[in-house]
Amino acid sequence: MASSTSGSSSSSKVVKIRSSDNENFEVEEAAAARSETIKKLLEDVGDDADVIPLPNVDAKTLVKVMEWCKKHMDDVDELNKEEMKTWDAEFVDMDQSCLYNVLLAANFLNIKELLDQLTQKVADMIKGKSPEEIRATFNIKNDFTPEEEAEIRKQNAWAFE
Amino acid sequence: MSNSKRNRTSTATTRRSASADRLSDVPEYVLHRILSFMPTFDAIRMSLVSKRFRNIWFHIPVLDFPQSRTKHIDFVGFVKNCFSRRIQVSPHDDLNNLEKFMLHIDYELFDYPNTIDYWLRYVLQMGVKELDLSIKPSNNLYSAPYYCVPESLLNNSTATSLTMLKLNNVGLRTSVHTSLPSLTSLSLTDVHLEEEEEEYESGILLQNLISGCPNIECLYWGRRIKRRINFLKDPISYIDLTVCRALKILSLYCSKLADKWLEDIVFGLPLLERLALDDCYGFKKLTIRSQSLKSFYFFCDRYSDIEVTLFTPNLVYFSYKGDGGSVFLMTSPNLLGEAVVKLVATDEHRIWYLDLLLLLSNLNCFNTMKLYLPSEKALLFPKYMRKMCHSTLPDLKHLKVKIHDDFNRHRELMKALLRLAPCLQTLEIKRQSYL
Repeated sequence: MASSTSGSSSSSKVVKIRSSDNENFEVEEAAAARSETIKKLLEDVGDDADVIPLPNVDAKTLVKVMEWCKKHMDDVDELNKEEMKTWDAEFVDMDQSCLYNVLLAANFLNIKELLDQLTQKVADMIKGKSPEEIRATFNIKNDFTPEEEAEIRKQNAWAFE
Repeated sequence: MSNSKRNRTSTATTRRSASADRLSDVPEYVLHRILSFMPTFDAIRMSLVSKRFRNIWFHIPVLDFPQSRTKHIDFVGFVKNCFSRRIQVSPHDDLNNLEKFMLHIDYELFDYPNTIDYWLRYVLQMGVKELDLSIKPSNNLYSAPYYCVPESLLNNSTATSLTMLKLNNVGLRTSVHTSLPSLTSLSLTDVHLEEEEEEYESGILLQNLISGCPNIECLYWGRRIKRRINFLKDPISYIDLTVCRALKILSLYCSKLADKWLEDIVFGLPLLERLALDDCYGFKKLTIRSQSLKSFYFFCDRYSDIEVTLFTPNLVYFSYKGDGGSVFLMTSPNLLGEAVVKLVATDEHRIWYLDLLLLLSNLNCFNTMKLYLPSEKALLFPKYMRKMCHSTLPDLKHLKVKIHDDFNRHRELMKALLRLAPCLQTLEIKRQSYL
């Protein structure tokens, strides 16, 4: 089985990326290229790339995202599908503020599979809950006036009754 | 926000801290994706949460209508209203916005098939790419009426962008002409073939359907339904699947198959990477020849005593689930991949242990093995057999054993495993339920 440690002993190419708070990271190119955004940038600048700045992602989040990318560097085949599933489930089990940061980063970096896993996670937190419960879960303020709320209920009575 | 690890099931009400509302700041595109992962019923309920979410659902790319989630409301009215609200909001630019449509319902509520026809026409117009229909006749009577899919679903003049089609429990008519060159994945489970009385006829019907999908890469076929007539063969075995030259994944479930048919199909598909035979029967001795095959699944809970010979030099994954009675002869000496063996039962008879040894010894060509056992007894061979066990797997490097029940004879297990596979580099024994 291929080891997915970050060991630089492998001959694979390493790229440098910089977080919004100016921390530099060295990542294997194959891992970084899981991000379509980075992949494109790499193609554009070619081998002259020094450091790729990622102005929207802070260091803490970038570490998390790259952890995922390293794990998913190789295409998952049948070999480790099951383990990968468990790993992924544990990966997305993070606190809410971290979850949003990684979600937004996955969106910005265009990592479709990671975005799917995270949006699925948020969806699971919404499913089956009443509007009140959803507000409580996500700290959403109810900005409807009672009249507005009544109107939406009336409009969509077919969905809520 | 606290960093404490939360219980996954705990509700958030306990954490109502002063933390900010971050969900509302998520870009619209991401919100659409989030709402796509839930039944449309839940997505619409989001509109009551706050202004930000009021109209989000109009544009979600997935419509998912499972009847079970909406039992308390008028289901037909609900779906109709969803459609009409969407059309109302964006009558034109909704085109090509719909990625997936899922409808899982019981047919008894639909005395009028026209309603479903209309919904399908609408989603096809919206350029739906993935369609997942499951329309169960609600009683098990042979004569229970079932829903027949309209021709428009199977024709590329109307279903222009369809890439995935999943049909469960619907009927297919003989007269319908199929042409779906854009389709890459087709799943037909428990479909009703018209003119079932004529086994051969229903084979032709199915052949026409599959020949009309020449670019599919994945095909799932399975039948669990009780039929009026007990077929001598499964309709699938009248079909020449090699017309689907691009096929990479073939999964057959609960099918009665003939050895020769399966052998010819696998040999005749140059790109086939994955073959799964789940609870299939009708064959005794099977020879699989394929240069391209990478993974092979063989699950049989009921019918054991099957012998499979594999000429598959590029196989990297082998998975067996059954009672241990089947035999697999691997002709390639060194396969770098993994073998998974899941035993569904143990039996402390001598024959059973012998069968198990035979099964395992033929998998020695793999590098890694995962062994799932119902209980530790499966490996605690009777004393008089211990010599026989010696070096059953002389080349195995890595072994993971998962045991369904509690086990307490850890030392004995280790001993038995090292006797079976003396050259192990890693060994792991864990308790894990899987049955």
